[in-house]
Amino acid sequence: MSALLLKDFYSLRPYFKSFGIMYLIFIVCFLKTPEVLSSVMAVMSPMAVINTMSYDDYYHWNRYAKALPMGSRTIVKSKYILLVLLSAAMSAVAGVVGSVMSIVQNMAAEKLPVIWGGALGSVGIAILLYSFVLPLLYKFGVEKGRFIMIGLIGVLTASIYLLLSLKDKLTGFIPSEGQLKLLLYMSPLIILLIVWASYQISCKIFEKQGAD
Amino acid sequence: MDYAIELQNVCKNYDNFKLDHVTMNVPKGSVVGFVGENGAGKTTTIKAILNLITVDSGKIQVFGQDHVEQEQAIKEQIGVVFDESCFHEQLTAPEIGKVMSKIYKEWQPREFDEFLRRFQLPAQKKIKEYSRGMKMKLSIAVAMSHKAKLLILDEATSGLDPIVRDEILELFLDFIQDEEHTILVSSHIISDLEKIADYIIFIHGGKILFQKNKDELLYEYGIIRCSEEQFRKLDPKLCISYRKNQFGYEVLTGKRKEIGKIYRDLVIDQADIENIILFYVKGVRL
Repeated sequence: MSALLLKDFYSLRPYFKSFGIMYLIFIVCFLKTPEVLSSVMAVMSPMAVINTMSYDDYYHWNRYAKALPMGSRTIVKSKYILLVLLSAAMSAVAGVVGSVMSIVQNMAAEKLPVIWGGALGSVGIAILLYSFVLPLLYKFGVEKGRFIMIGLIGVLTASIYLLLSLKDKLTGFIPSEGQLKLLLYMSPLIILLIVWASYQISCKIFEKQGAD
Repeated sequence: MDYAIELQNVCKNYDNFKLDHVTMNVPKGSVVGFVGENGAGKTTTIKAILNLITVDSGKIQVFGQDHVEQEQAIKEQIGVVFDESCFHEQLTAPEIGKVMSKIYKEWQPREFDEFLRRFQLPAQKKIKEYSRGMKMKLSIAVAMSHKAKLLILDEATSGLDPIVRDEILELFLDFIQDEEHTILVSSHIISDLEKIADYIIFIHGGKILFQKNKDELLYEYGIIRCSEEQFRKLDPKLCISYRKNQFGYEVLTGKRKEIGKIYRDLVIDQADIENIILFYVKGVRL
């Protein structure tokens, strides 16, 4: 599996260069709100995983990889590991940059907990979101999968907006502070279960696909 | 005889095509040419051997072991080359070597570097800057740098110029000097197979039509050129198929010597592999 991660990091070098430039632009945009930076970075960085899947499709790498002594499950697992690594790494970098920005602007005391809490939470959200996306990419291919992913994000955003606009009418359904705290403490386990289920589904889809 | 690959009654159904009870063997220490027209089932058979597709029925063994149960161990000993390079083109050849070193337990970095030097593959250039021939040489270098006992080549020399092909064939002949090494090569370029193959397996419409020793094939098969009158007198049991042209009939026989003894006035030429395939595919069966 380390071979596949190495291969993906090598092929993402051009992507990291342009991502770095975009990152600098985001730093300028979120100068006053560094706590948003880590959230944005955590959600955007796993798009690199989709890029690697796109390269794999374009170069027919998966056909070759399946002929190597690795197994289909290892090939799929490498994408999930890459997702976690990229989300965590980008979020950590964003957290450090955001911390420096808040210290420079004398906002450390109020911003630091929010920055790092947001970074951690964003990693979880990114992993959760892409856990729904990855099986779709394996099933429909990267090109169609991108559109489905955009649709999924759109539906999620619309649902959140709808819930927020109806919150006054849904007071009976809003969880209590205690329930929210419990959900927060259990969230790592919930995310882990969802990732595991997503991985199993992706493996089944990938194994059934004939080599192209 | 030991076999590197054995297929017994392998079937695989698709909507418009099927592998139909494919039975074939690749003897250890030999070069087997796997021929057939486009869409005959060569690549599908190779995919079945490599477990890239699941067969509907039949048995496949590689090195005497079930190809699914011992998949990882088997693939450590197989070098695969497809008709196009599958490496990400942002990588350089040494980077491919580093990736492969983490995949194969028996990866030989010095051998790989030696292949890069022998093939004159520039280490600093990315693969996207390589020509088609260079990409294919890189794929072959990878396939031969991990102590593979079996090379499976699926149209690996298609689209290459004769000089590059000749270089590559020389390499395969070196590889096969070790009697533990075996090559299964599927190709449309019959002249390449005539140079290196020991056996020829011909597949047509998903069925194996013959598997023969190449020299015996060339010895036994012949093309009879005759008039219609002579054609009518031929025993169909001694003939395989015929083609009619403006000059008369051309008949493929698998019993060249026998027919020569019976019909002494007939012109019988030795058939080459390409003609044998053409007659099987385009000829009218007798």
